Amino acid sequence: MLVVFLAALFGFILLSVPIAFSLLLTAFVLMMAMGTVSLPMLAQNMVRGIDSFPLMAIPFFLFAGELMNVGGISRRIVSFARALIGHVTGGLGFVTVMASMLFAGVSGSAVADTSAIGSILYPVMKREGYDEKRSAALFAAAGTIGPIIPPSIPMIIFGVMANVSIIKLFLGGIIPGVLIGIGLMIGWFVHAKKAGYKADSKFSFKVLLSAGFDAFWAMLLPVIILGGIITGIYTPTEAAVIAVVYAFFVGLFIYRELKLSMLPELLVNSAKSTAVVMLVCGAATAAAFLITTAQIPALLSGTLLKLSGSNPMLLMLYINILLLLVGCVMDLTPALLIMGPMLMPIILKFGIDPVYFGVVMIVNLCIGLITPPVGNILFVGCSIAKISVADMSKAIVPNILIMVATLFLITYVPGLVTFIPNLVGR
Amino acid sequence: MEESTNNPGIMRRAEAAVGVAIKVVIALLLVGMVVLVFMNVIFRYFLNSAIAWSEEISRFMMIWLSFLGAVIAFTRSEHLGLDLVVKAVPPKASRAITILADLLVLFALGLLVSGGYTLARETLLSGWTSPATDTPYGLVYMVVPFSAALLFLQAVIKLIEHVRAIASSAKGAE
Repeated sequence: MLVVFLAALFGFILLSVPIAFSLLLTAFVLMMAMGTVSLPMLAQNMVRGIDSFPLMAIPFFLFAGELMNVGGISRRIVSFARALIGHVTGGLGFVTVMASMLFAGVSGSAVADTSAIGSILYPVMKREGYDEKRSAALFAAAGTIGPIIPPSIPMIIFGVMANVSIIKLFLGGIIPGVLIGIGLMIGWFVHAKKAGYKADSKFSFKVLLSAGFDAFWAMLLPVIILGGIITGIYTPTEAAVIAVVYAFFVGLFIYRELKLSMLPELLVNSAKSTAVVMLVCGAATAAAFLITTAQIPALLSGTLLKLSGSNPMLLMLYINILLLLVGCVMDLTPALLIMGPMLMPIILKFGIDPVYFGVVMIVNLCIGLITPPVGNILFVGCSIAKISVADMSKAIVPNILIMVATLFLITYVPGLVTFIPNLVGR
Repeated sequence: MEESTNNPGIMRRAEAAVGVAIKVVIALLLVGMVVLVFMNVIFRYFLNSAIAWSEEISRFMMIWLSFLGAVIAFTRSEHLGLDLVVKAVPPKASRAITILADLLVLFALGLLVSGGYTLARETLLSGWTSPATDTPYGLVYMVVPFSAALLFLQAVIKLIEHVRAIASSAKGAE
């Protein structure tokens, strides 16, 4: 059954059938193999995968991100980071990472993070004479911090799928996200020294103060989102809708860069991005139901058990390698939805903390966003910087290594993930 | 992709017209979700009375938004997929794979149209309604066969275009 499943799924995907439809076809093949074909059940499970209040945070965070980009919030976050750290050697590189981390605190998606920061800062880096490929590789890698530092759309999906507290997952992502940011900054520092870049600007307390003042309303947003979630005043979905309303009013009335005439396009874009994610969610739920019925997790865990004995650390090594390979060819959301239901039973059997596992899995698959040959953020980065995928793939290798090192650090020092969730834990 | 020809066929024009209608609907659904969920936050924390139907209706709106939005994403070929193999193999094989993939997508959508229709009809007849608002689940499910049918038609258009492209390139080679 495992062979039938893997052959069907990867066969369809490799034939370039969109992943949502590949999952539906795989579910159908599994039904045939088990001799119980029920098409209404397939449709019903698909709806069930979408019918969830926590998942509603996804359209809201996507819409809030669109509002922040056109409403001037993103630009002010960048200006603030620039005033804060632009004065060091190769300053714009540090600004890129810093701005991505700050933006990660208001957005939950890597695409939003990368396109917001990259499209603002890349042209400036190019003008300053920075190496184009390295600059592009930097903002792309930094963009993957978007779903690691909360809020995070993949964490919402994982939380719903694996029945794990979304709030704890959010909190668990903070330290890993900051570590990746620091790692990328160190990598950039080495490059900037070698290349002999100069500082972006002289440090000026006056500029910092005015940039900070100007960015006040923008920087209040992560406080509102995370503060409310952590203290339990509202749920992640409610935080997301508050972010929408907040970004709308700040863009319209305070920064006055948002025009009502822009709304229809923003709404349609957000709805469409939502549909793309949700269709995979629904199809994966329909497939997951059959994956479980066909006992595929048990078959997979048997194999992994044989490989790793009963050593959870060895198990995590194999899982990390497996996920890194999957991430090379598959996007974050489908990889999460396909591998999650298969791996969770094994994780629970080994007594591994599901919050820790969820964060490790998401950090791992975020690396997959920039690993060639297929990586969503790799492609977004190429299209913003107008460089070839081949050039980008070469330039991004050091950043991938930095992220993999961070991945293994958090895998083998679980406290880095679990410290904050346990601190707040209820 | 859809702007590649200056004179789009009648099918594409019909698709565009339906597309505009769907875009209006999904934009309004998203606005509705924002308003309902935000109102509920306000009611719960400031007036101490939650609106029971808000969560249910907004969830149903998201189901409709997701399936209808999938139609728009399909027009622009934005559904997540892997074109690694198609790009790596020689053009002839690549065209063959594209046609095969088109047929598989059509088959998957056929499953969804049929399964979704049976599900929606039977649920509607069973009279099963949601707890807070008495919304018939059959109506909620109706979006599945409806969107799947629209997607099916789009997939047929895509298939015809791909076959035509092969036919014209074969003619060019002669």
